[in-house]
Amino acid sequence: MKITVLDNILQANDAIAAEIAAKLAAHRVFAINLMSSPGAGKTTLLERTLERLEPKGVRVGVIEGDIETSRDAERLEGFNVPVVQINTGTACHLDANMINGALANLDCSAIDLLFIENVGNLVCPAEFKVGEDHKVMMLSVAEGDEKPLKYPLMFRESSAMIVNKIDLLQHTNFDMEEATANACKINPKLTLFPLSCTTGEGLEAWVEWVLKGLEAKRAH
Amino acid sequence: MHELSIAQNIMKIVASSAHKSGATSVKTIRIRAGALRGIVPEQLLFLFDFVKKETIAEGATLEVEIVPVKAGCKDCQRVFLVQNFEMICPECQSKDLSVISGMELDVKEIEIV
Repeated sequence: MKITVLDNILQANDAIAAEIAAKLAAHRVFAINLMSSPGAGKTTLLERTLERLEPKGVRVGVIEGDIETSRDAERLEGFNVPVVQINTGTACHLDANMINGALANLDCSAIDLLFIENVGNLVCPAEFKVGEDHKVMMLSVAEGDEKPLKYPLMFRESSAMIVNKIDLLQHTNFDMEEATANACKINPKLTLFPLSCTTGEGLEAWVEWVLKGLEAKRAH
Repeated sequence: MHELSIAQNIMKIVASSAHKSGATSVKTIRIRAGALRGIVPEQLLFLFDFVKKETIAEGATLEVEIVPVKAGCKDCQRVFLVQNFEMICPECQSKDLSVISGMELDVKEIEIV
Protein backbone atom coordinates (compact mmCIF):
# COMPACT_ATOMS: atom_id res chain seq x y z
CA MET A 1 0.00 0.00 0.00
CA LYS A 2 1.39 3.37 -1.01
CA ILE A 3 1.37 6.29 1.41
CA THR A 4 2.03 9.78 0.13
CA VAL A 5 4.28 11.57 2.59
CA LEU A 6 5.70 14.77 1.02
CA ASP A 7 7.63 15.73 4.15
CA ASN A 8 10.61 18.04 3.87
CA ILE A 9 13.64 16.11 5.10
CA LEU A 10 15.19 19.15 6.76
CA GLN A 11 11.90 20.21 8.34
CA ALA A 12 13.20 19.90 11.89
CA ASN A 13 16.01 22.38 11.22
CA ASP A 14 13.84 24.66 9.10
CA ALA A 15 11.12 24.80 11.75
CA ILE A 16 13.62 25.99 14.36
CA ALA A 17 15.09 28.44 11.85
CA ALA A 18 11.61 29.88 11.29
CA GLU A 19 11.16 30.28 15.06
CA ILE A 20 14.48 32.11 15.25
CA ALA A 21 13.54 34.36 12.34
CA ALA A 22 10.25 35.19 14.06
CA LYS A 23 12.00 35.98 17.35
CA LEU A 24 14.53 38.24 15.62
CA ALA A 25 11.77 39.95 13.63
CA ALA A 26 9.81 40.61 16.80
CA HIS A 27 12.85 42.47 18.15
CA ARG A 28 13.63 43.97 14.73
CA VAL A 29 17.10 42.44 14.73
CA PHE A 30 18.84 42.21 11.34
CA ALA A 31 20.81 38.99 11.13
CA ILE A 32 23.70 38.12 8.83
CA ASN A 33 25.15 34.59 8.55
CA LEU A 34 28.80 35.06 7.54
CA MET A 35 30.47 32.09 5.82
CA SER A 36 33.77 31.36 4.14
CA SER A 37 36.70 28.94 4.02
CA PRO A 38 38.97 28.92 7.08
CA GLY A 39 41.30 31.92 7.02
CA ALA A 40 39.45 34.04 4.43
CA GLY A 41 39.07 36.79 7.03
CA LYS A 42 35.63 36.55 8.69
CA THR A 43 36.73 37.57 12.18
CA THR A 44 38.94 40.36 10.84
CA LEU A 45 36.01 41.61 8.78
CA LEU A 46 33.90 41.68 11.94
CA GLU A 47 36.60 43.67 13.73
CA ARG A 48 36.78 46.23 10.91
CA THR A 49 32.98 46.37 10.66
CA LEU A 50 32.48 46.84 14.40
CA GLU A 51 35.03 49.69 14.37
CA ARG A 52 32.83 51.47 11.84
CA LEU A 53 29.46 50.64 13.39
CA GLU A 54 30.23 51.56 16.99
CA PRO A 55 30.51 55.32 16.35
CA LYS A 56 27.13 55.18 14.56
CA GLY A 57 25.47 53.80 17.69
CA VAL A 58 24.47 50.49 16.12
CA ARG A 59 24.06 47.84 18.81
CA VAL A 60 25.67 44.64 17.58
CA GLY A 61 25.59 41.09 18.91
CA VAL A 62 27.81 38.26 17.65
CA ILE A 63 27.47 34.50 17.69
CA GLU A 64 30.81 32.84 16.98
CA GLY A 65 30.93 29.31 15.63
CA ASP A 66 34.11 27.22 15.73
CA ILE A 67 34.94 23.58 16.18
CA GLU A 68 37.31 24.42 19.03
CA THR A 69 38.62 27.40 21.04
CA SER A 70 37.16 30.76 21.91
CA ARG A 71 39.89 32.64 20.05
CA ASP A 72 37.47 34.47 17.77
CA ALA A 73 35.29 35.57 20.67
CA GLU A 74 38.41 36.74 22.52
CA ARG A 75 39.45 38.86 19.54
CA LEU A 76 36.17 40.76 19.78
CA GLU A 77 36.49 41.38 23.53
CA GLY A 78 37.83 44.89 22.99
CA PHE A 79 34.52 45.96 21.45
CA ASN A 80 31.53 46.66 23.61
CA VAL A 81 29.40 43.90 22.09
CA PRO A 82 27.84 40.74 23.52
CA VAL A 83 29.52 37.68 22.00
CA VAL A 84 28.38 34.09 22.41
CA GLN A 85 30.89 31.42 21.37
CA ILE A 86 29.61 28.06 20.16
CA ASN A 87 32.11 25.19 20.06
CA THR A 88 30.63 22.55 17.81
CA GLY A 89 33.17 19.89 18.74
CA THR A 90 32.74 17.89 15.57
CA ALA A 91 30.06 19.65 13.53
CA CYS A 92 31.43 21.46 10.50
CA HIS A 93 28.62 24.01 10.32
CA LEU A 94 26.13 25.82 12.51
CA ASP A 95 22.52 24.69 12.45
CA ALA A 96 19.31 26.24 13.74
CA ASN A 97 19.35 24.23 16.95
CA MET A 98 22.78 25.57 17.89
CA ILE A 99 21.79 29.17 17.13
CA ASN A 100 18.62 28.76 19.18
CA GLY A 101 20.76 27.62 22.10
CA ALA A 102 23.11 30.58 21.67
CA LEU A 103 20.21 33.05 21.57
CA ALA A 104 19.23 31.96 25.07
CA ASN A 105 22.42 33.78 26.14
CA LEU A 106 21.81 36.92 24.12
CA ASP A 107 19.37 39.72 24.94
CA CYS A 108 17.67 40.35 21.58
CA SER A 109 16.00 43.49 22.88
CA ALA A 110 19.46 45.00 23.44
CA ILE A 111 20.77 44.58 19.88
CA ASP A 112 19.89 45.86 16.41
CA LEU A 113 22.22 43.71 14.35
CA LEU A 114 23.34 40.11 14.79
CA PHE A 115 26.39 38.66 13.06
CA ILE A 116 26.61 34.89 13.03
CA GLU A 117 30.18 33.93 12.17
CA ASN A 118 29.88 30.40 10.84
CA VAL A 119 32.47 27.64 11.00
CA GLY A 120 35.14 28.04 8.31
CA ASN A 121 33.84 25.77 5.54
CA LEU A 122 32.86 26.46 1.93
CA VAL A 123 30.44 23.50 1.74
CA CYS A 124 28.14 22.70 4.64
CA PRO A 125 27.06 26.02 6.17
CA ALA A 126 25.22 26.85 2.93
CA GLU A 127 22.80 23.99 3.50
CA PHE A 128 21.42 25.12 6.83
CA LYS A 129 19.00 27.93 7.50
CA VAL A 130 19.56 29.43 10.92
CA GLY A 131 16.94 32.18 10.85
CA GLU A 132 19.15 34.80 9.22
CA ASP A 133 18.03 37.64 6.94
CA HIS A 134 21.01 37.15 4.66
CA LYS A 135 23.75 34.67 4.05
CA VAL A 136 26.96 36.51 3.14
CA MET A 137 29.99 34.62 1.93
CA MET A 138 33.59 35.68 1.76
CA LEU A 139 36.25 34.61 -0.71
CA SER A 140 39.86 35.75 -0.43
CA VAL A 141 41.97 36.38 -3.53
CA ALA A 142 44.40 33.63 -2.52
CA GLU A 143 41.65 31.03 -2.96
CA GLY A 144 41.14 31.21 -6.71
CA ASP A 145 38.62 32.85 -9.04
CA GLU A 146 36.99 29.56 -10.10
CA LYS A 147 35.57 28.77 -6.66
CA PRO A 148 32.00 29.90 -7.52
CA LEU A 149 31.83 27.15 -10.14
CA LYS A 150 33.26 24.54 -7.75
CA TYR A 151 31.00 25.38 -4.80
CA PRO A 152 27.73 26.43 -6.41
CA LEU A 153 25.44 26.02 -3.41
CA MET A 154 27.44 28.41 -1.22
CA PHE A 155 27.36 31.10 -3.89
CA ARG A 156 23.72 30.47 -4.79
CA GLU A 157 22.47 30.78 -1.23
CA SER A 158 24.33 34.03 -0.51
CA SER A 159 23.00 37.53 -1.02
CA ALA A 160 26.44 39.11 -1.03
CA MET A 161 29.98 38.01 -1.75
CA ILE A 162 32.94 39.74 -0.19
CA VAL A 163 36.23 39.40 -2.03
CA ASN A 164 38.85 39.97 0.65
CA LYS A 165 42.59 40.61 0.60
CA ILE A 166 42.56 42.68 -2.60
CA ASP A 167 45.80 44.20 -1.32
CA LEU A 168 47.38 40.87 -2.31
CA LEU A 169 46.07 40.85 -5.90
CA GLN A 170 49.45 41.57 -7.41
CA HIS A 171 50.87 38.45 -5.72
CA THR A 172 48.20 36.06 -6.95
CA ASN A 173 46.74 35.01 -10.31
CA PHE A 174 43.25 35.93 -9.15
CA ASP A 175 41.30 37.57 -11.96
CA MET A 176 38.59 39.82 -10.48
CA GLU A 177 36.61 39.94 -13.72
CA GLU A 178 36.70 36.15 -14.01
CA ALA A 179 35.62 35.70 -10.39
CA THR A 180 32.78 38.20 -10.86
CA ALA A 181 31.63 36.50 -14.05
CA ASN A 182 31.76 33.06 -12.42
CA ALA A 183 29.86 34.23 -9.37
CA CYS A 184 27.18 35.90 -11.49
CA LYS A 185 26.77 32.75 -13.60
CA ILE A 186 25.80 30.84 -10.45
CA ASN A 187 23.89 33.69 -8.80
CA PRO A 188 23.08 36.75 -10.92
CA LYS A 189 21.66 38.51 -7.84
CA LEU A 190 24.92 38.45 -5.87
CA THR A 191 26.23 41.86 -4.76
CA LEU A 192 30.02 41.87 -4.75
CA PHE A 193 32.25 43.74 -2.30
CA PRO A 194 35.94 43.65 -3.21
CA LEU A 195 37.81 44.92 -0.17
CA SER A 196 40.85 44.66 2.04
CA CYS A 197 40.52 44.31 5.80
CA THR A 198 44.22 45.21 6.01
CA THR A 199 44.23 48.51 4.10
CA GLY A 200 40.54 49.39 4.63
CA GLU A 201 39.86 49.76 0.90
CA GLY A 202 36.28 48.90 -0.04
CA LEU A 203 35.00 48.57 3.54
CA GLU A 204 32.69 51.58 3.35
CA ALA A 205 30.54 50.03 0.61
CA TRP A 206 30.15 46.85 2.69
CA VAL A 207 29.19 48.77 5.84
CA GLU A 208 26.70 50.84 3.77
CA TRP A 209 25.05 47.63 2.58
CA VAL A 210 24.75 46.35 6.13
CA LEU A 211 23.27 49.66 7.34
CA LYS A 212 20.75 49.72 4.48
CA GLY A 213 19.63 46.21 5.38
CA LEU A 214 19.34 47.17 9.02
CA GLU A 215 17.27 50.24 8.15
CA ALA A 216 14.94 48.18 5.99
CA LYS A 217 14.47 45.61 8.77
CA ARG A 218 13.66 48.25 11.35
CA ALA A 219 11.20 49.96 9.02
CA HIS A 220 8.92 46.91 9.08
CA MET B 1 26.69 16.57 1.98
CA HIS B 2 25.49 15.39 5.38
CA GLU B 3 24.02 12.26 3.95
CA LEU B 4 24.10 10.67 7.42
CA SER B 5 21.87 13.28 9.06
CA ILE B 6 19.67 13.18 5.97
CA ALA B 7 19.41 9.40 6.29
CA GLN B 8 18.48 9.79 9.96
CA ASN B 9 15.85 12.41 9.17
CA ILE B 10 14.39 10.18 6.44
CA MET B 11 14.17 7.36 8.98
CA LYS B 12 12.29 9.57 11.45
CA ILE B 13 9.77 10.67 8.83
CA VAL B 14 9.29 7.12 7.51
CA ALA B 15 8.88 5.61 10.99
CA SER B 16 6.33 8.24 11.92
CA SER B 17 4.35 7.78 8.71
CA ALA B 18 4.49 3.98 8.84
CA HIS B 19 3.37 3.78 12.48
CA LYS B 20 0.55 6.24 11.85
CA SER B 21 -0.71 3.99 9.05
CA GLY B 22 -0.49 0.86 11.20
CA ALA B 23 2.14 -0.77 8.97
CA THR B 24 4.06 -3.89 9.99
CA SER B 25 6.94 -3.09 7.68
CA VAL B 26 8.11 -0.67 5.00
CA LYS B 27 8.90 -2.08 1.57
CA THR B 28 9.97 0.99 -0.39
CA ILE B 29 10.87 4.60 0.36
CA ARG B 30 10.96 7.16 -2.42
CA ILE B 31 12.69 10.48 -1.87
CA ARG B 32 13.26 13.46 -4.13
CA ALA B 33 16.50 15.40 -4.02
CA GLY B 34 16.91 18.46 -6.21
CA ALA B 35 20.22 18.58 -8.05
CA LEU B 36 21.05 21.92 -6.37
CA ARG B 37 21.20 20.17 -2.96
CA GLY B 38 24.34 18.24 -3.91
CA ILE B 39 23.19 14.91 -2.43
CA VAL B 40 25.27 11.91 -3.49
CA PRO B 41 22.75 9.02 -3.90
CA GLU B 42 25.31 6.20 -3.48
CA GLN B 43 26.50 7.67 -0.20
CA LEU B 44 22.94 8.17 1.01
CA LEU B 45 21.96 4.59 0.14
CA PHE B 46 25.08 3.25 1.83
CA LEU B 47 24.42 5.18 5.05
CA PHE B 48 20.70 4.49 5.05
CA ASP B 49 21.49 0.75 5.11
CA PHE B 50 22.98 1.29 8.57
CA VAL B 51 20.34 3.64 9.82
CA LYS B 52 17.41 1.36 8.90
CA LYS B 53 18.71 -1.67 10.84
CA GLU B 54 16.32 -2.93 13.53
CA THR B 55 13.59 -0.55 12.51
CA ILE B 56 10.25 -0.89 10.75
CA ALA B 57 12.12 -0.07 7.52
CA GLU B 58 14.80 -2.74 7.94
CA GLY B 59 13.90 -4.47 4.69
CA ALA B 60 13.07 -1.34 2.74
CA THR B 61 14.62 -0.22 -0.52
CA LEU B 62 15.44 3.47 -0.72
CA GLU B 63 14.93 5.07 -4.11
CA VAL B 64 16.44 8.49 -4.75
CA GLU B 65 15.00 10.59 -7.54
CA ILE B 66 17.31 13.44 -8.49
CA VAL B 67 15.20 16.33 -9.70
CA PRO B 68 16.97 18.37 -12.39
CA VAL B 69 17.35 22.12 -12.07
CA LYS B 70 14.68 23.79 -14.15
CA ALA B 71 14.40 27.56 -14.45
CA GLY B 72 11.98 29.96 -16.07
CA CYS B 73 13.13 33.15 -17.75
CA LYS B 74 11.19 36.19 -16.56
CA ASP B 75 12.04 38.09 -19.72
CA CYS B 76 11.24 35.68 -22.56
CA GLN B 77 9.24 33.07 -20.54
CA ARG B 78 11.44 30.23 -21.79
CA VAL B 79 11.53 27.24 -19.42
CA PHE B 80 14.77 25.28 -19.58
CA LEU B 81 17.07 22.83 -17.84
CA VAL B 82 20.00 24.57 -16.15
CA GLN B 83 23.44 23.26 -17.17
CA ASN B 84 26.41 23.35 -14.76
CA PHE B 85 24.38 25.47 -12.29
CA GLU B 86 24.73 28.43 -14.66
CA MET B 87 21.77 30.73 -14.20
CA ILE B 88 21.42 32.28 -17.63
CA CYS B 89 18.63 31.97 -20.20
CA PRO B 90 19.86 30.05 -23.28
CA GLU B 91 17.37 31.95 -25.40
CA CYS B 92 17.84 35.61 -24.49
CA GLN B 93 20.82 35.50 -22.06
CA SER B 94 18.76 37.12 -19.30
CA LYS B 95 19.79 36.44 -15.73
CA ASP B 96 16.37 37.26 -14.35
CA LEU B 97 15.20 33.74 -13.67
CA SER B 98 12.99 31.85 -11.27
CA VAL B 99 14.01 28.37 -10.11
CA ILE B 100 11.13 25.98 -10.85
CA SER B 101 12.75 22.79 -9.59
CA GLY B 102 16.05 21.61 -8.16
CA MET B 103 15.86 22.57 -4.49
CA GLU B 104 13.58 19.78 -3.26
CA LEU B 105 14.56 17.47 -0.43
CA ASP B 106 11.59 15.42 0.67
CA VAL B 107 10.24 11.98 1.35
CA LYS B 108 7.73 11.62 -1.46
CA GLU B 109 6.01 8.34 -0.57
CA ILE B 110 6.45 4.98 1.09
CA GLU B 111 5.11 1.51 0.34
CA ILE B 112 4.06 -0.42 3.41
CA VAL B 113 2.87 -3.90 4.27
